[in-house]
Amino acid sequence: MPNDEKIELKGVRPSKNLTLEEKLQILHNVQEFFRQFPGLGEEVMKDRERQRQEEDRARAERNQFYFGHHI
Amino acid sequence: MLSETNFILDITFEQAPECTRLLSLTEEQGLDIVIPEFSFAEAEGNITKTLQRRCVTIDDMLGVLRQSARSPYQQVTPLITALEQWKAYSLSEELVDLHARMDNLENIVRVIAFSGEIAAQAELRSVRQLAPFKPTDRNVYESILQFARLNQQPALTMLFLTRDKADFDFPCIRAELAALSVELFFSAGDCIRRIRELVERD
Repeated sequence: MPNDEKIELKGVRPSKNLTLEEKLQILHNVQEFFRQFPGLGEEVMKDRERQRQEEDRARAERNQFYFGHHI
Repeated sequence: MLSETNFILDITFEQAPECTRLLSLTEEQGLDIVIPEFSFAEAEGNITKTLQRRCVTIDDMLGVLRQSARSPYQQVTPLITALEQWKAYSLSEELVDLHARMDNLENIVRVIAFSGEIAAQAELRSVRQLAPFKPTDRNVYESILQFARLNQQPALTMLFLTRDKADFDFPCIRAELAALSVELFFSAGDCIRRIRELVERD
């Protein structure tokens, strides 16, 4: 879809009018910032996975308690 | 293209180069990346919580080192100082900076504002025992549905990309998305291939 025929999207917050270069620069700056924390990405993903597994386990236990079986 | 929390974390930590490629397509191919505000909050919370957990670990280490420091044979004082500085820096400057960086990221995509209506729909979903079953996923998913309902236009193709197959691959989700003409993808590579097909078709 060419840019001049761009569809106006509803229900989204008006965004800043940025060029691709400006967007990529922002992305680059953010990535550079997080590079100062070696291993943080992996840690975040592991934490997130751990939290999600805990939620899964809590749900399974709740179902086991109320329904006597896992759903 | 609609996406969610994992996409933000992937581009933040460069875990998936395809995500950066998708961003490049926004200008070249008229692609819009649309992400719920809720996902930005969730990603920021994930990173903050991990840093806070790291500080708790530093506290534990400091406890052990301070015990050892009482012994005349241990030279651990420089280690204690370094850890104390690391913790103070992590909690002050880095966390503040982190929030600012996440705000910046919101400027490079279109954002679905989180609202009471979305939260209410997510709550009803929970009561109805409908997938996705995790509270955060429900808020993300209801944001996506609201956007899709508001933007039903024949000329607009909507693709929903989530890596979270375990929590989103349910028949009811597939049916709801299909009814709103939203195509579901669990891999960024597949999503890019589909975008290429659409671009070549046009």
